[in-house]
Amino acid sequence: MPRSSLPRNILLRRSTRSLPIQTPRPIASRSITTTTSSSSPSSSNPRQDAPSTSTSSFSTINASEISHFSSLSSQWWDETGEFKLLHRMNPTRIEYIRQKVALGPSEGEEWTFENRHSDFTRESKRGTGLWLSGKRCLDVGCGGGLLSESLARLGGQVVGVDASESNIGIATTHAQQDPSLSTKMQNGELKFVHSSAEVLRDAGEKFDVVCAMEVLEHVDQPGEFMKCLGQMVKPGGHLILSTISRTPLSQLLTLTLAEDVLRLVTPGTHTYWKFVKPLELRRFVYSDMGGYDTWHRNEDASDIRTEEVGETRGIVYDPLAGKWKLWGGVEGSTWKEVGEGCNYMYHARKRV
Amino acid sequence: MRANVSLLSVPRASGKTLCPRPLSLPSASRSSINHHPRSLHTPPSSLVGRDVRTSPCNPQAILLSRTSVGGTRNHSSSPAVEPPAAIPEISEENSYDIVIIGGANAGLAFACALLSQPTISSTTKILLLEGSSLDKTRNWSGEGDWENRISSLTWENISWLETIGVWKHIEQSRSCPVEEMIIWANPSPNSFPTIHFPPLGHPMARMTENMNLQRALLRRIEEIGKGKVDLKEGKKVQEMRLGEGQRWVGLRVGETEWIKGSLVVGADGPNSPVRLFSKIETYGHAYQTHAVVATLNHPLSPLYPNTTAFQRFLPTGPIAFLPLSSEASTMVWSTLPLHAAALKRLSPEALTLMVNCGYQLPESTLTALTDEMIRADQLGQPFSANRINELLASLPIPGNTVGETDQPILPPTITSIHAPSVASFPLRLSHANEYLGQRTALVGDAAHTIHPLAGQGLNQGLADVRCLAEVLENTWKLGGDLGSITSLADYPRERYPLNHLILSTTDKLHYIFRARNGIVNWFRGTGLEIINELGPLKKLLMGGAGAQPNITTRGELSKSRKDDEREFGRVRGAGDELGQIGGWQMTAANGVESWFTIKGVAKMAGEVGVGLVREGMRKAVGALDNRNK
Repeated sequence: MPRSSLPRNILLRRSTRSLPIQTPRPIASRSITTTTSSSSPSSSNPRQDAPSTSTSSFSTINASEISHFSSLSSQWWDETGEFKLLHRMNPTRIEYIRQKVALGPSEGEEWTFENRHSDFTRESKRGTGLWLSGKRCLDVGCGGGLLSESLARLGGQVVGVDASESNIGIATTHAQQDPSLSTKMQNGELKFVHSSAEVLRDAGEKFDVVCAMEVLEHVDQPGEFMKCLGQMVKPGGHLILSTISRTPLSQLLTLTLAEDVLRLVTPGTHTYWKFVKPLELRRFVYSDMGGYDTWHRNEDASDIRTEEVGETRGIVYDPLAGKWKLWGGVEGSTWKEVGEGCNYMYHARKRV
Repeated sequence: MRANVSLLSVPRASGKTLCPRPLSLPSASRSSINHHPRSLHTPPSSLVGRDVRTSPCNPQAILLSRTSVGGTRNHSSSPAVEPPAAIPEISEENSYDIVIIGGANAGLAFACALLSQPTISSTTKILLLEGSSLDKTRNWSGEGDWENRISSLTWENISWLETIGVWKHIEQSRSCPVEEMIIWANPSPNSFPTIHFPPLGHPMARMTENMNLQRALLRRIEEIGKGKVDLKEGKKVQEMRLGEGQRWVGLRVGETEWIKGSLVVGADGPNSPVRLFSKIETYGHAYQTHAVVATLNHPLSPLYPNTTAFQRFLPTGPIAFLPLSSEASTMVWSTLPLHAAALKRLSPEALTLMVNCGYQLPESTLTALTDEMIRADQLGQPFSANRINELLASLPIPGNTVGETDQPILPPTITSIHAPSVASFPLRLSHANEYLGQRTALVGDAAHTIHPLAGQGLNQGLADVRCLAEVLENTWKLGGDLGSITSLADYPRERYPLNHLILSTTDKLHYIFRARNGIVNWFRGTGLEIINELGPLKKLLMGGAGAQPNITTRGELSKSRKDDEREFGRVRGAGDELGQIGGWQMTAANGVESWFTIKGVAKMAGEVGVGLVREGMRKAVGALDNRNK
């Protein structure tokens, strides 16, 4: 079975160098940005000027992506505008975080059916109130602070990081105007920092919950980025991502429909070849980020997901209800994979 | 006054309302972020509504302003006013997550609903603001004369109130079960279509004084809401303004005190100041109808338990008879404003007679009598009891004499009326265009008002607050911003269509039952007869009306007799001079019911058969496979 580092197709397309399989490499996949591929669908994008120089303060940030989101930053909190779908997605993401962080088994607790499929008693005992209190959370690529604000309301001590200064400005102003969040900002329970994940990692910061929502598809070297996130997770902590898969379905929904036809999202926001498939992500965490020594295996799928770490779960927009829903389905089934064909969540938990 | 009320609404297509909209802000511009800080004062005349007891805000005094409204579109059309002084710094203890405006049914119930939600009740600060004192509610004794504000609580809502711990505070002796319901219209002596809703095994609804419910809600809040729900009484909202960045609403109560709320919930009655602040328009129309209410006394009946609600549809509107206790009932007579005024001017004795006539006289005779009443009233000599008796003796009564019309079951004949309870109020249908404004939400009468003929007004309000509390719990549990449109969107998505359905159905019923012409009469008569004879359809109607037959009941209700044992409220064979209901209609009804039974049984049998065949085939295929191996 081929064990992959991050997007294999990307590698083949983007680099002339073939990569040794099963060998942990310091810099994965898209790190080689010096070679240009003419087959890339949007190679006119000036993404090549990403800071991949061999300086010590290495960063996965893509400059053109940052300028793109900076230009949109004033619209972050317009609930009916550009980020309408993102606003609606937020509760569903938090619900996923809740299922994993609050309702999942505590450290040392035995895995039972109830742990994984929470019942009403468990839910009302652990999943209500300030279920995130005392947890240190990192929101990488916080944008206008949609997720950070919610995490802070739930009692978490939240640090929001974004590479765009204007985003940080928007997020700070917005949180300060909220009566309850402004006190949290004064107490240092909610911080917005103009920085990058790598800088925080180098500063030795550790978090109980590390989130990177819709970021993986915008960074330059997803492998490096993932490793950086993994290093910031405390033992027993959670790594939670949301991103987009690289399938014909995501091409149709995210690029063709949402961007080109319906114009729900500004065209050029997403790039198809930057998307990462769920399988690639799970395998990468296994092969390049420490495997089962560092991460819990997915107990729901321990018999079928060997050499893979974590759980992926589709997140699907229901236009009739006007909200996003977590896709169900049995691990390993086609039905579940169909649901992960576009947007999906990823969760992995670090061992103590 | 009508013109003033209608100012708050969008003119209906029929052009019933007279004035243009005072707040012609396009709804689209409400949601967009604009940066033109200025305020918009509405002409004070548009704020003078009809007096609403529970409205905590003084509509005349409220200054409607917000830091940012509209775009440049109506810049020229509205008077440019200097931006008001900045909101002073609001202290921490005056900052709330949820501010409820209005301490009547909807407001108090909303506070209780919020307290029943685990996350909301444990982590938010809630304020309930009531313009008048709540002492009258708090100190309501639960005995003595009946209030004239009485509502029917549906079984569904009673069950909910039980689960959130409110129902135990209700004064049970003052809450009367409605076991069955009889609705009829008799446009001519030979035609009296009737719907009879038989007993379900539990009450369809309970007639409860609003004070009784409000006191129970208040007691529940004081029981478990210490430190969670702050009550501020006697504080009128003088001014409302959106805060910086539209992240909160500032409310000025009194001269200098400001309160901050992330979400402001308007439970402040039909002329809701919160709705005005949110620039939400309503549409609807006033009925040319006023409702007269009164408490009726009648002797204890050995034959009928007083648990039957009656409603008769007259050409002027419905007259309802709703039980309160074994010896008292309440009346809601919806009729033309002129008639209502005349009825109110009658002496208690004369009114007693008129009410009896209202239930018992054939329609033509009653019309003649009310015509006489109006004539006398216009001459300045209201009817006396003697005059009515004279007229009754002289007026032609088709068929029978008073009390023996064709309608087989009538409400008990009343002996007196509790004079101070007589009151009247205008009826109006209205529905807000939206339930959500910027950081505001509307519940109950602030969002919709309805004709009382179906007794749904309060029940809709309770369903609203229940839904909104659930939506807020789900939002807060997931760290959402309580006042944002995205978080609250589920509330109108669930409630708006349902409320609209109830409002429009009630509206249509009002017109259908009022109309008197041959075709409508025939359709109505036949329709009602069909509905009455079709058990399943009737059950559906009752289920839809909020009475849920499948809810298990408490022990006390099991005493009520079964449907089979009674007929139109009386025990079968108990000196029934009317004889058994029978004939071809009964045969037809039985036939229809048998048909449904046979169909159901046949379907079940068919499914079993198909299952057997399928299983057999599967086994056969399996056997073949094995043999082939």
